[in-house]
Parts: sequence; structure tokens; C-alpha cells
Amino acid sequence: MTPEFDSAFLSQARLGIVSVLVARGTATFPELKDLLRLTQGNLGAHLRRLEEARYVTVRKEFVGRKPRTTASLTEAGRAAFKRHIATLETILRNGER
Amino acid sequence: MNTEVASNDLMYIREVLERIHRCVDPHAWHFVWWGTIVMLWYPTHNLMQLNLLPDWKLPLLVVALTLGSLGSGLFGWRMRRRRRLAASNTFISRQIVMVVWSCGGAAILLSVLGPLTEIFPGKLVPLIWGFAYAHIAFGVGVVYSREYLVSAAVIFAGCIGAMFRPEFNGLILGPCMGLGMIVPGVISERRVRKMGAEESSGDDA
Repeated sequence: MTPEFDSAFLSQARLGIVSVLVARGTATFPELKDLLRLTQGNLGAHLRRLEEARYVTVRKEFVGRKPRTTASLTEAGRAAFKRHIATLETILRNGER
Repeated sequence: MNTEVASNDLMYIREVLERIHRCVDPHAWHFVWWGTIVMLWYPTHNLMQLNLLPDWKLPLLVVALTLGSLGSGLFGWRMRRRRRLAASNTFISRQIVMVVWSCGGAAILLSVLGPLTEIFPGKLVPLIWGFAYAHIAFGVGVVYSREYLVSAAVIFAGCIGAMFRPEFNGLILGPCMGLGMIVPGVISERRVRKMGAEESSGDDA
């Protein structure tokens, strides 16, 4: 049987974003950019994709005059990530191609 | 998806988690401060033992411990006021505190009880603190960052040197313990400041 994949996790960048959020709960835009070594535009696009899947919520606020974006993981995102890890492990165990 | 992609994805997740692991505020000013105290105290004490300086070992001990405690208290107070890194790994921070207290606590007990019960002479106390510092550096290196492992090796080497040349133990241990705490402490503090600056800046940081 072929395991089902969540298309939200078919990009390593999105997998990285969710990994960071699983470990920390929340992360700011510069933190994610620094930890995942992504460009601003790239990170923004991947965050939007995860937000559309309702795996991540994004909060925008101002610190002084500067905008700050903070991403948080939703319960649905955490559950989906767990499922995806289980799927990856199943593939490795079965040696499925 | 094949096994290679699955394996790459899992490795990538592990790599990201390892990067997160380093986001810790170890309150390294304590290491820098006590490293500075020891680097000045031990060689001066040793020079007094060698009669190259007037014999003020007891006042020196009182001054060093008072300055150390006051400075540590002040840094602790300032660091509590410092904005916590929003995403800092508090589990690792707690482990660092436990490493410091377990090694430091054992050294305090030994350096008081050892000479008092005459299990070992008082002149071995600096060596006990040398080993305590080395264990602290090793523990912090294991749970937090590798530069502390290098420090642990330097301090261990200093301890071994001091065992072979006990008459110069302060002159050997002071710089090893001092630099072994100051150098990684400054590196950690700079890392924390950089992370703090990134957090408090906007999205363009």
C-alpha cells in the first residue's frame, strides 16, 4: 500500500518551518529565516502555504515602527506533522519505492 | 516518494532541530565573571605562597569571594531584567544550571569539608575547583555548545599540570580556568546578543 502524503510537507522548507514550530511553539520571521537559511520572499511564500492549510497562524504587529511577523503552530499542524513523520518512517522501514 | 527522499527529509528535520538546540541563553556572564576572578586570584595567591608578594592570602580570599558573589548577584539581577529570547530552549538552560550547581555544589562541600575533616590538605582546594570548572565546562559543552568542550580540555590539562607542579598550581590553574571560562562565555554572550537583536528587530533583520 502506498502511504498518503500531505502536500504541505512535500517541500523541505515547509518541513523545516513546522519542525521549528514543533520544537518552539512560535518563531519570528527573522528567526525562521536565520534557522532555515531562506530568503525573505521564499519564507513568506511557504508560510502562506502553511497558513492556507491551517497548520500555522501568522500574527503581524509593530515593534516601534518596524513590522514583526510571528508564526505559531496550530493543533492541526502538529497532528499533521506527526502523521508525516510516521509516514516517512514507514517508507524507510518498508524500503518502499 | 522513495526511501532516499524520506531519509533526506528526516535528516533535514534532525539538522533543523540541532540548529534550534543552540538557541539558548546560558547566562554566560557568570562564567566570564568567575573566570576573571579566578584568573586574578589564583596566580596572586600562588605568588604569595612563593613569598614573592606580601602574605595577604586570607584578605585576598575574602575579597575574591565577595567580589565574585556581588558580581554574580548583579549579573543575575541584570540578566533577569534582560528580555528572554522568545524562542529560547529553556530545557537546555535548566540543564546548564543543574550542571553548574551539581559541580559547583560538590566543590563547595569538598573545599570546606575536606580540609576541616583533614581528609585532604587545604592546598588541594584550588585543584578541586579546577576539576569542578572542567566538569562544568564539559557538561555545558555536552548540552549546549562545543567551545566549552575545548575549554574543558584546557582546564583538565591545567589540573594535570598543577598536580605535577603543585608549587605553581595557582600560576598554572589561574590562566587555564580563567581563559577556559572567559573565552567561551564571551562567545556565548555575543551569540545571545545577536539572537536578541534579531528578535527585537523587524522582519527585515
